[in-house]
Amino acid sequence: MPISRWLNVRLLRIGPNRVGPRGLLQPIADGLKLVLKEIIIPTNANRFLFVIAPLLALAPALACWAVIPFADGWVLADIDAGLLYVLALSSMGVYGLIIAGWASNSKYAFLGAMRSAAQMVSYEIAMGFALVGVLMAAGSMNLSAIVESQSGSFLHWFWLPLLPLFLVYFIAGLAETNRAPFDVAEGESEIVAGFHVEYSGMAFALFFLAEYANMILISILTVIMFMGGWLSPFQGIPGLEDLFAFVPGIVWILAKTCLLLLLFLWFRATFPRYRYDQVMRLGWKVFIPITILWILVIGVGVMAEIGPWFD
Amino acid sequence: MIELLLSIWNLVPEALQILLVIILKIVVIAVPIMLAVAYITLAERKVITYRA
Repeated sequence: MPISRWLNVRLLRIGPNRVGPRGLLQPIADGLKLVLKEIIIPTNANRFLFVIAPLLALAPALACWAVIPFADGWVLADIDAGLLYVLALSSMGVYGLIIAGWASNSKYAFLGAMRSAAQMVSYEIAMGFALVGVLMAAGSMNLSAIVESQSGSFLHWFWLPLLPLFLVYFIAGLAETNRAPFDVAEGESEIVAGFHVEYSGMAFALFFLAEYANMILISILTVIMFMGGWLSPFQGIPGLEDLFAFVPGIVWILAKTCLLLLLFLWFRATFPRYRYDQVMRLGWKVFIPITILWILVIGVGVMAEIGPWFD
Repeated sequence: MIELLLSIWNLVPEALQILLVIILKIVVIAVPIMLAVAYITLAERKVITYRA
């Protein structure tokens, strides 16, 4: 025991979270390192596609933010088909990964690309069905209208009547972003790093940015569709509602988003990676049937005008 | 000061004004996202290496 403890202390090296006070300058140092590193293009790679693939992965992740409402009226483009826009753009991200895997001319990259394509397409179906449930409950595809339809109290938020869809959407979001425990597309121990194994420098940094931007996007979309968006959790509770009335909506939406982001980090630190066939089975044989079943339940709820959510 | 800025802004052609507003909106959204991404990576390392 003392020896293992001594070894632990020896192995506690200066890691990548120590630059600056409390490690606050580490991201700047990492960014600078990636910008200054050479982008190596493999000899037999398709140069054009190799270079354009990281951009194809990042651009949809950023474009989705145009329709995200941060508070009442705080949205760049308040379009009526916001939900459709998000669905359409989030499915575009997979092209960047497939093209990166193919253009690299590497077996590991190609295997990773195939895995991520199959995984993202599979989980997109479950995510799409979960969003159909939200659409039925809210009666609108406008994201601001979806938030407003959850107004009342935290019991009016859609997490309660759509609980299975909420869980499916968030877990499918984990899979969609290729995050642990669904990171079979990268799987260091199996296929080295998957689709981005041949990428270095800024090109790799763009894939990295895309993954994390997608993570934040999935978290804020979950908040908007199931956790009342910018609405206060104390709404409708006598005493507390007035006490927290001074807190602006953007603080609530960001706080809820941070909570979900913490879950992303926590899951990565906690769960081991799924086997590939388990990932596929969960998507096709568990999530899709659950979402279809719950859409029928919502249909009954809407027809029967069950309050306070569907009246 | 504000009047001066407004008068300079009014000198800018309308098409360029539209372009600048669009670029400003993109920057207002994209820069905080990039910063958030940078600091989530740091938070992730802190969470994973957390020792009670």
